[in-house]
Amino acid sequence: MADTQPQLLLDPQFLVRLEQLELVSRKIFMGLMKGERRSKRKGQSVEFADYRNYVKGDDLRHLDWNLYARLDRLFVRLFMEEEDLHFYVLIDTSMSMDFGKPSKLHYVKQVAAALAFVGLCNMDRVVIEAFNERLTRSLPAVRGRRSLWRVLDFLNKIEPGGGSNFKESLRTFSLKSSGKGIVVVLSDFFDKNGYEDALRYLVARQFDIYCIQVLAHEEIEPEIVGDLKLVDVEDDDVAEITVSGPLLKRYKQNLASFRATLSEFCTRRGISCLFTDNQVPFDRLVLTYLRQRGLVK
Amino acid sequence: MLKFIARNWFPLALIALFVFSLPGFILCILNLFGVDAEFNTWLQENFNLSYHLSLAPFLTILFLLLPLVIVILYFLKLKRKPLQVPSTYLWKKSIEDLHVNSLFQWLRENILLLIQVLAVMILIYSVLGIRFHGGTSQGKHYILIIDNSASMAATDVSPSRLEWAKQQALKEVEAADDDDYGMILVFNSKATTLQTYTNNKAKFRDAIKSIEQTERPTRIEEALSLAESLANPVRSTEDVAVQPQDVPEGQERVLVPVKGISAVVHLYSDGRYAKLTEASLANLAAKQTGKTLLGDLNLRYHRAGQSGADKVNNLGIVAFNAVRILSKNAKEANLDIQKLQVLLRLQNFRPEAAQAKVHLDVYAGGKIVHAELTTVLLPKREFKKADPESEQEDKDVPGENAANILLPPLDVRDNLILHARIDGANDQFPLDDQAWLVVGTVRKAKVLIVGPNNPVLDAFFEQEASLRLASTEQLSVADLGGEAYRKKISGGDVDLVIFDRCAPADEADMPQANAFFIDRPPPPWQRPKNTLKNPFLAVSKRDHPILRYLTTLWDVGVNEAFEFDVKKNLDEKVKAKFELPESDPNRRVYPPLTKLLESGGGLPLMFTMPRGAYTDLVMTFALVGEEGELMSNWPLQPSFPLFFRNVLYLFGNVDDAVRSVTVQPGEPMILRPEAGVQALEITPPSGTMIHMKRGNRPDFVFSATDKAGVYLVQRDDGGVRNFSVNLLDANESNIEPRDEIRIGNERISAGQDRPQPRDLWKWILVLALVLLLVEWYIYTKRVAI
Repeated sequence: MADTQPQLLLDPQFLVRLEQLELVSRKIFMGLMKGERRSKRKGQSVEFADYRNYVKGDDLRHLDWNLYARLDRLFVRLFMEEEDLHFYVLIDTSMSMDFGKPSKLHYVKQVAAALAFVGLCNMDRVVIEAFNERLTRSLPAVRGRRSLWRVLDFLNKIEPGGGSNFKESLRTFSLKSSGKGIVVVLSDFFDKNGYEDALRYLVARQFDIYCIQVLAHEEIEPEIVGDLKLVDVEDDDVAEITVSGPLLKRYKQNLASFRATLSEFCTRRGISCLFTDNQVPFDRLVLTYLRQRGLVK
Repeated sequence: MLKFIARNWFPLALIALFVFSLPGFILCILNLFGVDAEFNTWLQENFNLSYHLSLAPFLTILFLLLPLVIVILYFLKLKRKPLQVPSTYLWKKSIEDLHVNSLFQWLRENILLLIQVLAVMILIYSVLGIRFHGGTSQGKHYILIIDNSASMAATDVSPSRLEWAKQQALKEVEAADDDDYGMILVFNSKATTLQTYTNNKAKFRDAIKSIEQTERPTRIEEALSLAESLANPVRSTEDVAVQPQDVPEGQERVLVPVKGISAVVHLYSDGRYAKLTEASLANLAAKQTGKTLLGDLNLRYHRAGQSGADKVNNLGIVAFNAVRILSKNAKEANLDIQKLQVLLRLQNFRPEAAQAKVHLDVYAGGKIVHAELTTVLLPKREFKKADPESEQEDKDVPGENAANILLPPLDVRDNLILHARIDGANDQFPLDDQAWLVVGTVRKAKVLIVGPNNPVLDAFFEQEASLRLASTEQLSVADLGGEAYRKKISGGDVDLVIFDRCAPADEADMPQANAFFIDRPPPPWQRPKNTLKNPFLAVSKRDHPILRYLTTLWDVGVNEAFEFDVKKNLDEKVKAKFELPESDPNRRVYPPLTKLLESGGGLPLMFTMPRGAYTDLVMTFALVGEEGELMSNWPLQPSFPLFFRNVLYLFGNVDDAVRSVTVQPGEPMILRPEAGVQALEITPPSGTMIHMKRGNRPDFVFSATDKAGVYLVQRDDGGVRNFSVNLLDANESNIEPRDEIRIGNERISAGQDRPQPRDLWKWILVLALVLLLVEWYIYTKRVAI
């Protein structure tokens, strides 16, 4: 089952490499505070954006006097505004995540920590939410590299427990979160009620969504033999099986189909979807796979 | 069709299993109801099959229930191990897809159930003890006669003929029904009953396994006679003579004739035994009762070994002898340093000519003192099979040649041992590739002469030739019964006592040695007064060793001889004991006289009388008279020294060592050490020393001569001698097994191997185990089926 050994979420060498990365949003969102990212708003940066007609009350400092001289009309120069980015990490902490070696939860914590650090380095507004049947814990928005310890402290305190209710959890999150931005959902997506509705809430809020499905190796290649009574750790549901060649084959087919469905669902809605298992080194996941997917650069 | 089978193989397999199980269930149920015997008979008659369920009825029921239990267990899935998984979501979906829990789907795929049920059913069949009979013996009694003679050590069948015979015998035992009684006889030069009639197969197996190879020659007579006597008893109560004549009415007895036990005799042998003589066949009970030769004996011959003269590969030494070459000049002759002429006869039984390298090593005191190597060319064996219709024997002439080796002068006092061996014979029968010979030392007789002066005897014993054979001591008539006389005769110090015209007064004074009485009968007989004047000497037993080489006795003249009658001349004091009734334990019987010479009227002139282990030779006439004058002209005849020489050889135990005595394995060796030796220690080649003490016999009979080789004999006086045991038997060396054996006029061909009922349960059990292995493999490796 789960690996209970306390492990360091991020090691310093890895942090150095993460410092060079930044989160990429395929959408331009309006931020709350001035940041380092281009905002939908026109603002105070040095990068020219557009012209518009002068209306009364405009700051005369932004008038383009050259243009007035040429056209004899008043135009105001608009500049690109740089703002901060909302970066949400949603971590599934249901009992099913406490499985594997290392446990899936530990793995997603590491991924969350890494992504959060990238965000903090780039002065993004990082919010981390833990959920199982509902939102359980929440890390208020933090910015700046100095907040890393808060992120790690929060992650370390997350314990597995409870069942899964994607729909309820993500609905609550959608209602609660004010700003738009990037949402990374870290889960195994094994919710018997389905994940579709839940993701639709996020889509509706126009988040830039990334779904990372983390599975234990034992779930991908089950090494079980004989007549077994499988007990679901979340709801004690029982499935009696006799392990056989056809059953294992069918299981793998179903798993592949489940992934394909998730992938298709996400693709249709502009959600990036990534699959990994707990045997893939998480640094490679962050540095390679997420880069390829365009979450970081 | 194939598609249908492929799609529905599991239900079809289940149906097949059910059909397969039906016979087993029926057999078990028949057994439970106790009607299996009739059914077995029917099975055996129609299908050559039988079964025997050795389980108790309740165990049978349990066995029958096992497949059912397995199926129920599968349905109930009683043994499911709980295992926590992150989510049963995908598993549930998978099993729903497969409909594993639906009966049809479950049945469609569950190969393990099939295998387990099949394995259990096969186990049930194995317990049923089904046997296949190729044909069974009808006789309820059988006798296995196994030959373990030397030639059965031949390796033409692997590992040896004896092992083959044992295997065949074991098969025969296994083939027998539980009600059949069998017996095992083993024979070589003797026959031994290894196991009396029993139906306990475990005893049989142990007995057969205990049979060991011997190096003895083959004599089948005893075994045959033993087996035959059981099948054909001589006694017959059918004879009306035993029915009393005047039996009161109503009390007549019905006399049931004794029937022999009709037995099937299986003879496992190579058929290489000496031709049966009429005399040995005459002892067969069936012949005595006037039936056919073997009567009720149904003899079956199982040939051990590969048939065919071309398959024989053997060279063998069949004779080994050594002769001393004495110098013609008696005075120059040195009895101790002598040349030896060694004669070796070899036979080749191969279908091609052979060259035998023969090593001859001469050992003295345990060390090689001389070695010879000679090559003997042996022609091929001539073999021509006789026409089976004719009465002629097969023509079988082995290639034979002899090697004469003249050894240089050797000191024969050193216990010379000659060892001959064929080098690199590389044949199927190594036992006859070597032979030993012990060159004996001269054993002189110790002779005590009691009586008045006898110039004839003196002249004889003073000769050079006699001195080589005997040393003499003389006592006068006055010494008879005296201390010196008694001391001499009681310790076994003498081999022969010659009582010349005198005899001990009492039986108690008779010597513990052979005795030669001249002109006197031994006590308790007395010399009769009446004599026969000038009797004519007629030889009544020409082939007696005492009369060997004697041809001209017809012109021997005798002055007078006493007329001996074993009943009349008996001492009156002891006569009563001879006339006691038969049942009296103190009754003495008249000794049988062996007449060697008799008068024309049939009166014994020379005869022998046994006296315990000794023999008394009685001559009823004197050689010389009171004054030393000749009473017979025999001492002047050439036959006289020959006669006395014979007396010395036979009664004086002279061994002139010209030819060393060798015996075949198993034959008793008669050792005649010098007089006075009381105990012997004999060490056979195998090394375990055997102690022997002198009994009341003049010789020691050593019978543990099972191994060929040199035996060491240590006497209590410190003397050491050897003797050798050799096979030297052309019949054994000819290892070609006979295709048919002859018992008198009856020919018995080697039968085909009798089809043995084969126990199938072992194979069925193996199949069940293989199935279980397959099941285990599938279970653990999850082979995709």
